Amino acid sequence: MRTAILIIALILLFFYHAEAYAMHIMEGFLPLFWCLFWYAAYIPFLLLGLSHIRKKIMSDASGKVVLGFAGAFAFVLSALKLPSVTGSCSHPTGVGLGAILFGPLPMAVIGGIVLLFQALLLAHGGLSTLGANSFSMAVAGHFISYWVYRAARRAGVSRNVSVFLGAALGDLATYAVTSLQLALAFPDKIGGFFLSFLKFAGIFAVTQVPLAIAEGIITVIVLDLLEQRAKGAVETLIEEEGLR
Amino acid sequence: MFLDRYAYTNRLKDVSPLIKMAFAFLMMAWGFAGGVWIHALIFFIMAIATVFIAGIDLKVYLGLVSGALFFLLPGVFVVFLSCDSLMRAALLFSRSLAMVSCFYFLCLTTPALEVVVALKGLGVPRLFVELSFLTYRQIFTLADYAGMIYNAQTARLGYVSFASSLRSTGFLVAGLFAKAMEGSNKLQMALDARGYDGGELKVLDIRPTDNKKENDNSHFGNNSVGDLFTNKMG
Repeated sequence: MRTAILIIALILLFFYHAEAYAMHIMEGFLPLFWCLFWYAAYIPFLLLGLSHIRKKIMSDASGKVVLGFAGAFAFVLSALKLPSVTGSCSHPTGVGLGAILFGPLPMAVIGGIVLLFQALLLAHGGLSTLGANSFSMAVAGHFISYWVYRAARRAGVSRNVSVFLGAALGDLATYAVTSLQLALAFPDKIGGFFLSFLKFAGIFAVTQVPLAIAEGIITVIVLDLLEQRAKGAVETLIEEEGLR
Repeated sequence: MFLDRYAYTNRLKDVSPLIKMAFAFLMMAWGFAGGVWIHALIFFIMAIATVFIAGIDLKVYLGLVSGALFFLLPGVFVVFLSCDSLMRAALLFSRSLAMVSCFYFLCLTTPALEVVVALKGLGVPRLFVELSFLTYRQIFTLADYAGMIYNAQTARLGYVSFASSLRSTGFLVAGLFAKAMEGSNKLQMALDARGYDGGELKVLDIRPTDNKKENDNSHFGNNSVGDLFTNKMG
């Protein structure tokens, strides 16, 4: 019993420090079938997002350039260190901010680009697992953020609380889907998929719940500051997404 | 921070990106099929190709591999606990390591932009490639800017406590966003001044080794959009 506790503590310690890597499933971790499966799941969203962007660009010549900068912004954001209550640090996913400012469909494309560059420039994530990572962060994270935010706004919750909920839950959704992907690929021998999911999610939860809260708070601060200071630059974006 | 530094300076930088990609991806495909010994062989081949043929510093390479191990070991351990099969965990470990070595080979020998441009020839939608191209160009300027803000904030004890860290990160992100929007406006103005109509961005596919020649020409009115991206924010 004591050794079991010791082992679990060691694993937690490992994960606690490996958070930066835990953000995405690393190269080679998923079997071929699941790599292809998640690519197949991501591609429809990529194509939808691209056609959405094409329609947007038709109406506005500057759309493409703005999205290019949004991509770079999201990349730099994901490379930042996020303060965490536990004293360690990890990286924000930026899904809440992106989804609220640009909407989930364009962000599904931009998120994929950001993940591609994270793989190629920082060796975070991987190429065979790019489909799985894109699905968990760029699709699930952004859509959940956006839906939670919209639902909270419609229910009459104040803006700051809605932003917080959207960002924090979007962050958690990313990790929930990552746990799901790992559990599907490595189901438990006895308890099957569900037990395996609980194990992976449990390990992620230790570090990710405080981080999701931190990211939620930061997203609220950022949107607040943006409203005060960069009003001209973001006004149109924010109005399009119905932030006011 | 960015692996592109090695990608632009290694000994394989002049080899066509398509050949390097084909090599890395074929080895990856082999890795999916093979067993533990094949994985070991792949890792061995890729490590030799990266360190001895491409000339990447051994210390850098070992640092990257140990970084991968750091995540891989606990990950494999958790899988071992749930599958209860040592064979399966060992196979997962060796496969991941083999694939990571192929992945690192590609990252360290091929600039990200060349991979993206090569994707265009492989049927990836042009808009995706163009957006990647635009994103890539701005990553470095924005990262630079974020680094400057971060240093300035740290110098003023902006990250001294948890609460102030949250606040400072908020300021940093908001400042960065304003900067990104400003940069995008400037680039848009520069493009408008050159008659850009929102269609395809026409850029020259120049390889880094040709840069010098192209820059010499650019003084004589050869204003490609590529020049714009590199010079605009400076």
